[in-house]
Amino acid sequence: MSTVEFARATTVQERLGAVSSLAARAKDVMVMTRRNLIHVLREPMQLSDVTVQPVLFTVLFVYVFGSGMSLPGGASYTDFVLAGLLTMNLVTSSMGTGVGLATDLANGIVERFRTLPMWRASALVGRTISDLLSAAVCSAVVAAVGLAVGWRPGHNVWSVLGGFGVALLFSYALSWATACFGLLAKEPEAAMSVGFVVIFPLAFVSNALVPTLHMPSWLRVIADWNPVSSVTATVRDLFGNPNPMPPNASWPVEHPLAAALIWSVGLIAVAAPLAAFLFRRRTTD
Amino acid sequence: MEDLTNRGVTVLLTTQYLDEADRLASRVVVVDHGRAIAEGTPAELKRSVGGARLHVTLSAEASHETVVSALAPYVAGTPLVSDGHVSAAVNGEKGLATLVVRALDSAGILVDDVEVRQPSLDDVFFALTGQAAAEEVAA
Amino acid sequence: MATHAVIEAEGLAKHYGNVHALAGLDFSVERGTVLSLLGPNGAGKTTAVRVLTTRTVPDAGRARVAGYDVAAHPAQVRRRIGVTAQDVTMDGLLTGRQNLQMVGELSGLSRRAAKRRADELLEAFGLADAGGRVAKGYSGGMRRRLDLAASLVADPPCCSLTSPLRGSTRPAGRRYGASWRT
Repeated sequence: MSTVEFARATTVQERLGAVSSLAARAKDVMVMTRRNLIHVLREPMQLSDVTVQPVLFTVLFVYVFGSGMSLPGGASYTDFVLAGLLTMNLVTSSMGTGVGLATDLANGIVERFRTLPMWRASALVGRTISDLLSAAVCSAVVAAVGLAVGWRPGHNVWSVLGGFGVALLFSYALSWATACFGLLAKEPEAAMSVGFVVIFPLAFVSNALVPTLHMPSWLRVIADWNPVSSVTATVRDLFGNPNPMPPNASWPVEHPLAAALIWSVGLIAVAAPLAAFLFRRRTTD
Repeated sequence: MEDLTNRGVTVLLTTQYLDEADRLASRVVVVDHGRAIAEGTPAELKRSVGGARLHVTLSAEASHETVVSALAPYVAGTPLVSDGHVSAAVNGEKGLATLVVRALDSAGILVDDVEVRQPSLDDVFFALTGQAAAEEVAA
Repeated sequence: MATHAVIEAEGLAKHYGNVHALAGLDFSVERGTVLSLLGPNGAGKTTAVRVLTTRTVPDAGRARVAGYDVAAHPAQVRRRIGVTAQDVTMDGLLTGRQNLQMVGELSGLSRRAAKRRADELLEAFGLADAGGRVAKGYSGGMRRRLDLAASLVADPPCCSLTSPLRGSTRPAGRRYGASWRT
């Protein structure tokens, strides 16, 4: 075999190697995703995150808040709040990514992974994917309960699905952020408390449950720039549900879709590489 | 384990338990403070701490000199005598226990128990690291 | 004399802060033999195993496993080793069978091959009946057998085993970790 032929053979082989390594990585991610989904089914707490909690939140807010809330123009609170409940449920359940990773690191299964010829980051990617699937189930539960208590989307099914898509994209982005908390935390408990401190204000200081209209002006600035508000407003628009706009609103309120996409993509662009770096650091010594 | 090695599998067995190393390993590396302080088959290591030891329990206290002189032909070095218990290094010749009992008997000393014990990896461990085997610590 | 050493450690050194966990450790293991690293707690055995199983990079010295340098080609080494160690656990929320299957698939077996291999090993280690139960509920002895089975899933030419016969000092429950969250 001449040198040239030999060289060509190597590049073909290399290319095949690259393809097969990509396929191997995809398979590792799938295995890890499946593992995490089994966890969700086996752990009552995790399962209730995506089943009981959305039912409870939806029913409670629609009936308790809804009974005392009057919206501008006499719009239905149920129609108003459903998009907010969707984002709120997805935002709080995104904490699971960080807590799950911290738990994996704490109990030695990651050490097992480190002895296997697998793609190291599949533990990370598989976790975010399984959490995305859980989030999709959570969304379906919110929608089903919403329909049962009188929520009616005003737009066609594609627009409504688009709304769910935007909410899920944001929850996926937030998963990468909580992954960073989980990888920085020494204990799963710590990951959770950091999550609470960051995630709860994020969920509540927003337009998710009440219009920002009557908030004190300093709070309204925060709420209007909160990504949760942008996502919720986008979902409301796509659902064709009431979305009361304050006068002389700031840019994200005027352009909720653009703001929601910028926040989501930006968060992934920052948090995913950071999580990968932190994961490598936690599993190297 | 044998099944593994028969198939050509190479096994690194890490343990703080001597009986495990003794039963399973063909070679042993004793590690202390981050380096290898001895290496060999379990038998070689045992031999390296000396041969067998004689342990005798006397029925009653006997004078030190009587015991030492009675045992002198059979033991290496001076036996340790305390509380009616005698311990000494021996070279493991045939019929040693009989010879020892006879010698003590003719010196007028009654014997409750005689044992000639091959060294264990325990003894190796103790001799090398100055620590008792981890077993008691971990148990 | 030609050596047939499959595992070789030369002058391995590793320190954590002021503690010299390894201070020039040398040894080698011939193909098809069992070598025991024996030593008290804190002697450096665990660190040596971490180096040889590609989980720790030594400060000095070098180690080769199955012909590959552990620091330069960790992926090649991982393809050729099976590991049981006290700091390496199984997934407490998966069943014994799911654990072995997962390890098999992550070691490069196809899903079907991993399934078959898991069943074989459960049978061989007397876990056939327990294979469908979550590992969290296994007794100490069953966990050890599952650990051993896991290290053999990919039929590796090298195995690193830690105290396979004895009760491990792993605190009950904690390390197998019930994963939880709210």
